[in-house]
Amino acid sequence: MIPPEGRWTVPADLAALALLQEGAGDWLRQAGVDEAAAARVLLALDELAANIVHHAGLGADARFEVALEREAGELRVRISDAGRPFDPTAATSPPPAATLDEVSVGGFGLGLVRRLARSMDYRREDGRNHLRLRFAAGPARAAD
Amino acid sequence: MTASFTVDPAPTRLTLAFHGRLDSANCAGLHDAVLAQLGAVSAGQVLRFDLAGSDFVASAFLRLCILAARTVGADRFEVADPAPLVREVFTMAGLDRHLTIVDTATQ
Repeated sequence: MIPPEGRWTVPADLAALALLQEGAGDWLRQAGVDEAAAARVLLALDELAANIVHHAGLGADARFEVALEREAGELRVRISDAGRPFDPTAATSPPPAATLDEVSVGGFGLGLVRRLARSMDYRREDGRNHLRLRFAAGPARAAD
Repeated sequence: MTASFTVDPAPTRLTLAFHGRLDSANCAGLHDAVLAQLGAVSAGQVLRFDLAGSDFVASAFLRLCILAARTVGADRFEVADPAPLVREVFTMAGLDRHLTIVDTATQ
């Protein structure tokens, strides 16, 4: 049976991201999501959550919200934070680098998320960033 | 879910073998220890990041690879034995064009 929506309230610090990865990984296994599809969702989640921790300007006690649900062959992810306005769908990727020296050390995370997700929608509402992403769920496997 | 690495020095190669999930949190914990190893690479050695023991890398690990390659020189740095999904991350980031990625089973 596919579990109900998974929801997490995550402290905005790096140490808490490991717990989010663990919880979301467990939920994806219970939802019967195959390993490759789950890994792609977890990578996007890690990149976006780390972005909030590093760049949203949240206080030490702040938290952000994450929700996962599986529906109609796809996985939907919602992330909400009260940090400074940031629309990742509008962020531009650096042009391809010709040499290693030209490779930007930063900015990989959002580029990966764009390639991993089927779609990404952003809105700013009630002083919060709301991001919704859709991923392919991959072929079904037996749930744990 | 922690991550770690072991160091295997050989005459022509210094290998850092990573284990566990190389996600953002774990890479932050490993960052300084990895950079400290870069100074141990001698002129005649290649630096290898062995990824056979890890099935997950985030962009924080890609940044460590870039820093390592720039420090020792791109021609003296290699990533070894990434799992298919890990290799896919390097490819999506475009780093497969700038870093040497080897499969030791076929060497």
